[in-house]
Amino acid sequence: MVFLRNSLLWSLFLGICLSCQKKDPDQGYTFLIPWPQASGEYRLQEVRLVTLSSPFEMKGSAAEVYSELGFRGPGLEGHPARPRLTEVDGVYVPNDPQSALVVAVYAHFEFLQKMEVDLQLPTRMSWPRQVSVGMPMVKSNGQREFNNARYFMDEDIVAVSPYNGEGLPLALNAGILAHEHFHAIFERLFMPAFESVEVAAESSQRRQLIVRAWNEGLADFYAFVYTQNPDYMGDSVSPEVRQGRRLDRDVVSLLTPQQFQSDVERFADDDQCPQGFCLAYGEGNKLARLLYEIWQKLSEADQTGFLRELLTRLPSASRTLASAEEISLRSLVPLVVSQQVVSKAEACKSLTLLLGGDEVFVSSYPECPTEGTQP
Amino acid sequence: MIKSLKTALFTLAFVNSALAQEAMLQEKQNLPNASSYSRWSFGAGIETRMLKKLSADADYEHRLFPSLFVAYREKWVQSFTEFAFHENSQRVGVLNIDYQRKELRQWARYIIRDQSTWTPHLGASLGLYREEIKTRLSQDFRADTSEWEPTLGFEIGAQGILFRRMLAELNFRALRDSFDEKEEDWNWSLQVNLGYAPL
Repeated sequence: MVFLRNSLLWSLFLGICLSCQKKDPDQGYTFLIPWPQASGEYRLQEVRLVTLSSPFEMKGSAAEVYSELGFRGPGLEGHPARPRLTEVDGVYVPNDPQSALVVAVYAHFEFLQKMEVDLQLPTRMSWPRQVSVGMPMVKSNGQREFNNARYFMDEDIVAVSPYNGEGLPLALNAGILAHEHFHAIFERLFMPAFESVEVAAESSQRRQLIVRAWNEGLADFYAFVYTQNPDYMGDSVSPEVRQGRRLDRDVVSLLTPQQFQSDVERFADDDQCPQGFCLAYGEGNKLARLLYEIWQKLSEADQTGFLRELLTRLPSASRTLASAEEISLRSLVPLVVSQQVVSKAEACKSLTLLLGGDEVFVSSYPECPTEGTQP
Repeated sequence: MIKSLKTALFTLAFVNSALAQEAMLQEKQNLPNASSYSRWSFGAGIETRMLKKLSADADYEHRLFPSLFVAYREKWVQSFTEFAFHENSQRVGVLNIDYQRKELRQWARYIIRDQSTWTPHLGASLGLYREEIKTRLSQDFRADTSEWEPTLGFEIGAQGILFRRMLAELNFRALRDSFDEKEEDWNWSLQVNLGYAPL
């Protein structure tokens, strides 16, 4: 009996000592997570994160990541996710896929933050970002939503719905997270001035769709900038959506106001394209393809300058467009893409194609000839 | 979770049945005085362990731990050695993670009193656990195995004797892997053991 009692006391003491070894959080923590490679492929990789104060809680200066939480009032109900991890030789290995997803999401927001700081991008972003992974969401038809990601502007939260597909889960997809993150940037740089002007209800929906198209297009481009992968959606989405959102395709003309109006009416009652939002993705992607082409032709230093200039110009573009009586899909281009950048990238031809040869807009680029283009 | 609780409740109902109680009383009458009592036993059990979901305060998922044990009682103290095991496999898209945990725990139990049908006890344990994780992402694969790490626990439970040499136990446990870094809460569990006492 004495032996048993003594053994227990010594064992408890030893156990407490063994479990009290602290690590220095300044060194960061290394996690094993799926991570994009230069080829665009995702592999298991050890990724070091330096903004977390504990590896066991996804809360740091870059983000607060939540798991499977819905909204309660203005925010999320619950605390930042505590992933289940096992430490093996200094590397934290997730015990289940949901833990891997929340860690990967935190990691991408830390890297997005680093990119914006390093490149001195004028995003007006507030950190840490709030992200909910596996958030239960419902579609407009009342069914549970899977395989989607959204930015909720009122709550300023990025949400990723549960994934039930066979490809790369959306929460692991760097490009999709960067795309949604850009919506928060757009909300800060463009929307305040644009929404300050009241417009007639009949033109409001059309304006909303046009702005949505710009928002989606710029978000596609931002996703490329972060991932350096023009096929950033990969197999996280259906082959049709993937093909439709690739950036390495030929630049084509944005719809004219008449064509756009006609398509909006055509899609008005289409369940697959509620309120014509699918048009916004398609038209936005055309803009993204031009920006991608310009980026590809610039030097590394000019690329950073181009991105910075694009973001810097958004607030003033917003003020100009807010006070315009009529706006079209093409209106934003001359306000955010400068002649200097177009000339450096020798992108006159693609620019003119995107603008459909419309002299009203092409004339903003004196170095780009309008002859020979089709309106 | 509900299924496991039903199983536990069914077991409880079974061991509390009139027949079992009668057998216990008969067995008690045949037992020597507790102060001079010594006995070996061994058997198997199942534990359902409550784990909080990653972000929730009050939403749990459970894990089942089948176990084997060998115990030795000397008067009012019992040494209870237990090996438990858990594994699960989960997949989301191309990401698949197989998780396995092995535990070896040494419990020291104090028998509170030995006069009723059920013999209640308090226990504390120190043990070691080891985790193995196999992560697969498309064609990419990696296996990681941790060192043996310490784990601690406390329990309150009761043991009854069924049908001469058969034992039944029910334990409520609070378990924890470490005191600091994981900053984790205690994990609660319900455990049922069935055993045999040859001596």
